[in-house]
Amino acid sequence: MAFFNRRPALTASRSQPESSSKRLLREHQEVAISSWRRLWQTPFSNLLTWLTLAIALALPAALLLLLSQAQHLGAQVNKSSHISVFLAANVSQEEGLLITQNLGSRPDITQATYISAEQALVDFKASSGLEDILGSLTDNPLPATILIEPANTSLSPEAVAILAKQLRQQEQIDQVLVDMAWLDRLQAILETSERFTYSLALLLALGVLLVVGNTVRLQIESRKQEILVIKLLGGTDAYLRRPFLYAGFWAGLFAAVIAWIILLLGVAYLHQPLMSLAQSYQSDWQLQGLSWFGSFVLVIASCGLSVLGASLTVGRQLRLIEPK
Amino acid sequence: MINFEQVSKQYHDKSALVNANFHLQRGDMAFLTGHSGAGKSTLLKLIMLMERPTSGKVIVDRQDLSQLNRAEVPAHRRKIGLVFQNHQLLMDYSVFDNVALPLKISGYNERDSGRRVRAALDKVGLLDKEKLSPQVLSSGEQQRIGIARAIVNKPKLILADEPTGNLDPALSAEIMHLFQQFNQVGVTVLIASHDLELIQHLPHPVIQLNQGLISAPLSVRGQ
Repeated sequence: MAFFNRRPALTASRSQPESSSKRLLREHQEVAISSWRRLWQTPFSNLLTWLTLAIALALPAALLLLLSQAQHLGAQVNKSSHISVFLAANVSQEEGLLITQNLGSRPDITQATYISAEQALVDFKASSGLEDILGSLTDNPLPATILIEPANTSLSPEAVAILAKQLRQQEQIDQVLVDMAWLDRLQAILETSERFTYSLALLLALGVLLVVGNTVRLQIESRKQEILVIKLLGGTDAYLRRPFLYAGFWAGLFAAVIAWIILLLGVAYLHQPLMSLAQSYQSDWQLQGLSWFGSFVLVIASCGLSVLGASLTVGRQLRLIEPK
Repeated sequence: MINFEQVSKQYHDKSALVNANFHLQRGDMAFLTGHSGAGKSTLLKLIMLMERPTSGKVIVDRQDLSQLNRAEVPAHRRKIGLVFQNHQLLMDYSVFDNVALPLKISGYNERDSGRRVRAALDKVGLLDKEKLSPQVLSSGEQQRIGIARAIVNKPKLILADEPTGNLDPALSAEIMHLFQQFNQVGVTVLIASHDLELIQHLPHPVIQLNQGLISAPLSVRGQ
């Protein structure tokens, strides 16, 4: 019979040898395209899945974005935190200037500025609006002050505290003021937010795995007949798994794009009030959107989690479907 | 081609196959008959590795099937053309895509695959239906599409499970004639059927199963 007899001729005319890697690449291309087409057969339910995934991704991403920038802001505030050194009343202006000079030459201090008692009084009069009352005083109640800006290397609150302690030990110095409590509090808030964000990110990543896993389980259920026939015709596990892994990949990609848009809108919405807040602290800080690198990480994390979620489910589900 | 040596299959407390022995040589064509529940399906499932025997040895194409692990099952199945009673066509695939499925699984590229699919459809006389859905075809045509899918890979062995089960006598004879044609070019064919009327008129040996026992053992070739 012609059909079977033609076997040698057909074999000879096959456009082989196609190398196994080339063949694998072609098969992957075919599956990527066919699973892409399959997405648009049920666009509405897919969109719902993507939105769910996108929200689960956007929430921790937004918190991480805020946190990293708040840390940046915190560092800025910390850097600009001054130490006020009040000199004892019996220290003369010459002595005061000498101490200032000495302090200014220390490696852990960027700048030391001497403010004489008279200058302090003038400043205070101008800023407090109590000119009349202060003018009636015969003595200047204010001490001379040295404003110290710690060096960049001593950013941590601990380093600032040590510096303050050292300053207090000098006998010409009456009092050293650092708003340590405020710095400590900021640090604690940042650390708490950080841990909270990481825990939330972990839980939501688990959520992504479960959502994708469940979606894939339903897809497998709806294609049960096809899977049975393919198993009987000798389809390997890898062949059967592939379309579902690609479905996971596409879901991850779309979820990342939607999450990116949510973040963009969120940043635009928060930009104005946050800028006003920063301005009230004399900071020119601005909320930045996701960087190129951040967007890249978002896409990789989303696709990676989705493919992982799909692969965790697909093997087990496929084993449950055996021709009987 | 197929060798059963003392093969038994037990399902819980029921014996589906008891000490079955038979040998189907390369290029043979034989029928497997018996009442429903006599063990025909079990025998085919053992060849397809859908089941493993409780005891005994099944050898297909010189391969002892007990040596194959789970990962090696797909490659074994790809060597066999399988025809089902209820054709098992995928209704959301076109006729062409149904027939092309075994080639796709084997990793053929589109060009080679298209040529083979059309050759197989031509063989069963349905070349003009390739773009249709199997749903719009008659049951005889659907069964022929199932056969085209079984032969598209040019297997050395064809197994058919009640291929004429739902067809009228004229269509059944036509289907059997197709199998005979495949056999004439050297393909080994084993057909499970309870259509004794039809089988009696065909010059092929019969393996008769009765409650898991082979009551009429297969003898020499071309009997």
